[in-house]
Amino acid sequence: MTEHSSPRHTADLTEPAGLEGSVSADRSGANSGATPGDFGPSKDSALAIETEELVKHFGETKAVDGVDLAVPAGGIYGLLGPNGAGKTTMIRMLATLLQPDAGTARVFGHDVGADADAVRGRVSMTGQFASVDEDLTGHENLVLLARLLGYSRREAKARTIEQLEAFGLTDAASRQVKTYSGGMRRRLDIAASIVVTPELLFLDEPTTGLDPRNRSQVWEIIRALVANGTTVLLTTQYLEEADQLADRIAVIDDGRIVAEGTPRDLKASIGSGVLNVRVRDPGQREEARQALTRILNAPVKLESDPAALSARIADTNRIAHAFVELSQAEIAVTDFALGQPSLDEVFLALTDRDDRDTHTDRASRDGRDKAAAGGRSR
Amino acid sequence: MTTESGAEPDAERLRSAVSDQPRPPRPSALSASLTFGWRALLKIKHVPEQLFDVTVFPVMFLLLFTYLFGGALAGSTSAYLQELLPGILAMTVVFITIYTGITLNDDVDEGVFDRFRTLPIWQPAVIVGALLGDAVRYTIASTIVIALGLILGFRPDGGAVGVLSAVALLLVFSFSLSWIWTALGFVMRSPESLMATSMLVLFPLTFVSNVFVDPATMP
Repeated sequence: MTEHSSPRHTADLTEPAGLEGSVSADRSGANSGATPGDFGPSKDSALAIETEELVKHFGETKAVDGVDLAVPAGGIYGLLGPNGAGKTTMIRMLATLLQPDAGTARVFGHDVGADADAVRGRVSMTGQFASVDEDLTGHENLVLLARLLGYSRREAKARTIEQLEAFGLTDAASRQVKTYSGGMRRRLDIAASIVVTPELLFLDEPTTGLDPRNRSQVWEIIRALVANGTTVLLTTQYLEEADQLADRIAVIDDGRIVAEGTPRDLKASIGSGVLNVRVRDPGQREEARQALTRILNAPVKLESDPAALSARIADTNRIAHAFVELSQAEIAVTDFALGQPSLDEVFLALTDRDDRDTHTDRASRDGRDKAAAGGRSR
Repeated sequence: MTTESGAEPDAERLRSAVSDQPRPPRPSALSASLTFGWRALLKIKHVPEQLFDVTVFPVMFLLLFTYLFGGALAGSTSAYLQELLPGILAMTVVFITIYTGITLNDDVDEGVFDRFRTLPIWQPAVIVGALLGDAVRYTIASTIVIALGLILGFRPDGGAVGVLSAVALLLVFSFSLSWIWTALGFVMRSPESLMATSMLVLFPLTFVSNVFVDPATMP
């Protein structure tokens, strides 16, 4: 099912600027469940996660609808998608919290259904909501988990003190978690996930709702874990985060994987660069669009900002001409920048179904809702 | 409520948080259950309000019924107390069992349960531990009711041994009963609906039983 519809989906995007290459190739690699033995780049290394035609429906909703995923051991793998795309459902199935409706999922070769205990002994999970006990203190939470993981009473206390110190929570150790700030709570949550270093760590939107400083602290922890050999499966809505951290990314939308590859592959898939222009007078935007389209010979997109335009360009040489053209047409420009396409653009292009502009609006609205609601999604 | 801790972690210290020690052996079912029981006790320690139901309610019921209806139902308050106290004892503890289900229902909502479920432990330990913690609450409630009864003039026929074995029987009964609410706690959507359902079942049953009135006088 996936095999037929998704590549067609991907092909739509191909149009603007030669996408055929990397993304489609990687997709077929990820889909190799159908042709065993060919896992593309991860052929020789062991797989941390391997799913074949994984399906989970909730009533009418197809949360996960035939996902083939091959995540190599080591490094960070990003699962990227809008709200309700099926990311959390994927993680819950892989962490043995949900039974798949169809298909198979294996973690380090152990089936998540039949061999759940072996999976549980290797994974650890940090959900969208801090999964710590709000009534207990930070210290008690960590001791509780250390005891449950098999440490003796004395070892558990020692490990807890060590962790509280490292995560800057020593001062707050004897306070109930419900008095913690969002950043502290998230740090405690991550500490709770790594009381014992897991072989595979699921991080479900670990930085949602955090300020930039707390976010970079979380990134630091993730990098430290990876350096120690842990494989991380990260879901995120922040493309910057995926770009910064992930070695490979799968873009998931409507329960299916629509693209898979390295961040660089994905970015390359939509052209070599993006020109962003902002005009002083929004009334002149249409005029600017026509001028740019003519000179650049590429589709020009109107952004949701009423004064901004962007164009994906293959030939950077024409940019100087574009600038001259705009000034000759007496269109005042406040911003003129050439950049690599951001993962945002890749993301929107890949998860776009109908009209590009409405989707842009919807995505930015979702983003705000998400921030406001603290990020509750399926 | 959002006070930041003074010491912010830096990269170096965060890296030191990653343990390079080997994983300790898996805990036994008993050890895991006791750890969860410890968690239940910690919750009582931090939220002592939840002990209201095991302290205030039995006292209130015992005083109310003894002095309001005692004279009318049994001729004198002291005669009624002899009959009522064991019943109140049973009723109090039976009602507390509902909270076992409610606590679990809360846990499931909080996400902390997800973490417990992804741990490589004997899975029923979460429930057994919670029930063990509740057994402590039942004991507290029983002690309070009996102590108050003795002050008011209750004189048990069976003596100390009789009372202790009655309490022990009650604990076993409640422990068994709380499994029902626990099961419901997983099925029901919210703690409120669980509370309402359990009350709907327990309330009529308690009043129809011989706690308050001798069934022989019923139609």
